Amino acid sequence: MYLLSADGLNCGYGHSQVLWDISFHVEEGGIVGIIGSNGAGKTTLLRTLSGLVPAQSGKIEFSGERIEQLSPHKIVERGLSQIPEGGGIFPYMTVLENLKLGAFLPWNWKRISQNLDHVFQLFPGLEDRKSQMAGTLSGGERQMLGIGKGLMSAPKLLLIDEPSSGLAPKLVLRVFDNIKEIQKHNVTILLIEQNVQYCLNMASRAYVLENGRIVLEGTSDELIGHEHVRKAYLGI
Amino acid sequence: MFAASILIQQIVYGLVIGSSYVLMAAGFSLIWGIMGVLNLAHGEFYMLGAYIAYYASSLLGFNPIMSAIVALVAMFFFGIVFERALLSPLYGRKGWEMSTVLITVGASILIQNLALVIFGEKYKGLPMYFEGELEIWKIVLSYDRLVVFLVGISLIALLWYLLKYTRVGMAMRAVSQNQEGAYLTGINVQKIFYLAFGLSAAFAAAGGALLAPIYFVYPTVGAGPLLMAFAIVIFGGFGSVKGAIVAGFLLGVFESLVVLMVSSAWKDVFVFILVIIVLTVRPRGLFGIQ
Amino acid sequence: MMKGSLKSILLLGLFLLLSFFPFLFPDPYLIHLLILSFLFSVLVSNWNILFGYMGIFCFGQQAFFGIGAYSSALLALKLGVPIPLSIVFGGFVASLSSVLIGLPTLRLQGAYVALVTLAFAEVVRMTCSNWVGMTRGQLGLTVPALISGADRVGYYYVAFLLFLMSTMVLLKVMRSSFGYVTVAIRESQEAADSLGINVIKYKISAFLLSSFMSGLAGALYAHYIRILTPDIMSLPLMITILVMGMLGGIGTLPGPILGTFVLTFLSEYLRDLAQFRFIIYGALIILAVLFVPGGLVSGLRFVEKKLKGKRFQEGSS
Repeated sequence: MYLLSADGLNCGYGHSQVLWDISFHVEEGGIVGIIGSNGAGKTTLLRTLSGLVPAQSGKIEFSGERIEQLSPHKIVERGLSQIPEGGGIFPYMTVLENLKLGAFLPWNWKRISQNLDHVFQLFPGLEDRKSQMAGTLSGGERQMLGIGKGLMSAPKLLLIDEPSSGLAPKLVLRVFDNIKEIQKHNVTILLIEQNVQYCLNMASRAYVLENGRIVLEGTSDELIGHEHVRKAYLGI
Repeated sequence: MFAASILIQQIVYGLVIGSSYVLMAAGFSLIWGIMGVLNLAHGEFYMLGAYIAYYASSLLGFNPIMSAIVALVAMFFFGIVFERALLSPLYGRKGWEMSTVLITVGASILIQNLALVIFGEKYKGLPMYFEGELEIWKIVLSYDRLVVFLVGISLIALLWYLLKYTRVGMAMRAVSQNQEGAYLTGINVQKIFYLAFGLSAAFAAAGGALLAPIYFVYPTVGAGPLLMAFAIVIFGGFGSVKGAIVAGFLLGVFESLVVLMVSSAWKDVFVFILVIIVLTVRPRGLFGIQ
Repeated sequence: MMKGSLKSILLLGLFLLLSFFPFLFPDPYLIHLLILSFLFSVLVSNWNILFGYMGIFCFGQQAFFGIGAYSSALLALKLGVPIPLSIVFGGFVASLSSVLIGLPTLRLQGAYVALVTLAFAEVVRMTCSNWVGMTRGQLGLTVPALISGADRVGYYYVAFLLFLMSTMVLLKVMRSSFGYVTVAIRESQEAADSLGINVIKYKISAFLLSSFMSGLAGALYAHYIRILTPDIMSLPLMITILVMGMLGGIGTLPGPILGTFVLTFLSEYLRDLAQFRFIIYGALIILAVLFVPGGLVSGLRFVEKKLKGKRFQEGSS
């Protein structure tokens, strides 16, 4: 059984449909990627998975349970967290407060200091800046905070939206190292990325999303060698 | 022109009134920051709090502190019901900002006129509860007013603590800063909405209950405090509770001084003009986020 | 094609009925109600341009009504200006005042505009109330009549004329590109801005037009009722405007007119329930927002659609 699976998902806003007949699955453990350029519908997909936008039709199953009708906070309760683009941080609160809020769910709140220690270990930079206003952080630091916050919710599956966006390559590598580190701690990851190289480096399997439809699926090796991928996304 | 002691006396009165105004304004600002809703029925929460205090005092003999607490608790639940029944159906709709304004206007008219029919239009007065007064350096402050100030400040401090240190308070701040981010953190945003609304109603009612013995109680008594809350929130910055606190005391004192130096009839005009000036010069207010 | 002609026939019939009404039904009471309806629908329709079409939270329309009324009355009383002229001047003064109100609100949004316009209206009202030397305050002014004699028919036709003029102007303006722009501004001011639309120019124009007409209506009202107190521009009037607009359907042209007529006649028949009148208004607003946000107009359009649907079915079989 898959940890997360979508079947025939149609998503959109009101009368405008953005995604058609989306089906994919994510097994427990490991990293799966979804590649798509701007406007392909990546963010809409993530928002629908997290319950921010109701699906127009189709199924979403998480840990064997249908979640497409659930409200967002209930989805987080079940262990599916998301780090939206930019980190999803609260700009007028300190880094520490942001992290604490990551552990908002009652059972996490009780173990908050343990989780905090753990996150600070992974991201010592965050501990240094713990009293700083989150809105004043740089792009890379915000991404770190977003990931740290996501971790505080002790999720089973973490959806990450374009962690590389707006970051210099050196920072991107740092971020991806962190993601790999997280994965070692039993967190499954669904990675949405524009940058094919980054994505296929991290993920073992991936899907390609184009104009609202999944057009390709395969292991990273298969996709890197695929003609369409090379032409459209790698410029080869 | 005026003896220093008279001036200071008015300033002290201003601070006393200010503490209740702050309670009104903080709730109003909270709702705006968290939900983006302009609650034009907010004055009616104040009015209902005043009537609760009136009946608690005259029928049950409660002292002002007890009355304020009763008003606080009763109106907290009323606020929750209000939000669930009238506001939550509107959130997903297109043009919900206008819809929520209109529905709160309707509720305001309904509640005010129901009060008129049920309680009657006569101004009701409450006798002073605590006899005696405090006198320091020629400044006189009745014990009643002192209680108003102390209770007011305590409630403000309570709100501050709630927002800054408790889990719920942090969640409220989070929702006001990044609603989607809050959802993704597992915060039940709908619950935060009604809790915040209940809180704002409770505080407005406490303000009304506390000031009931000082001003009369009548069905339209909420109109003045509503406009004052509006003015305070604009002055202090929409969405900023800190701004509401500072501006609340400042405007309370300002109003008090206008009453002394010009006349009571023109006080609203002066407050409005001040607000219009502030809006033109610094639209974000003192501490505005938006 | 069929639906068009049915509508036109109905409208024509209505127009003829109203044109000859005083001769068909010489009941002075009914005529009075119609006069009020004409004047108030001018007020509500023009408020609707700001609120319903442009999305400007104007809560001070009553001030334009009152300023028009007082200006005209004072010009006639103190300076002996002939009344038809003073009425027109009343409109202009109201229009000028709208610049005062409009300026602070131009770059502001929703909540702020609501307060500023409300504050403005209150300041004007309180000034009229306190400036006893000029306006006699709460004692009020006795305003000279536009048409001498107790006959209402003359007033009826003047009010009807104003109503027609206002409706024509609004129809023309809102059906033109101006109308599209106002809706665009309501939907998103930023988007309109980025498209190169001079939002400020449109807002000012809307204010000028809206206040001019409202001022005319107010002036005419003053010379008809002949007693003028500051209460004319009190909050209850604004609430009445709001209810009339909402009932009929804001953001449409026929809505405010429909809502005004219905509410004017309704409130006369509810006169006995005077205390409950505003309770009903409040409940009506709440119910309208929750269940019928488009007001009567949307209800009628719904019925129209249903009828058209039936005709199609019958035709195709």
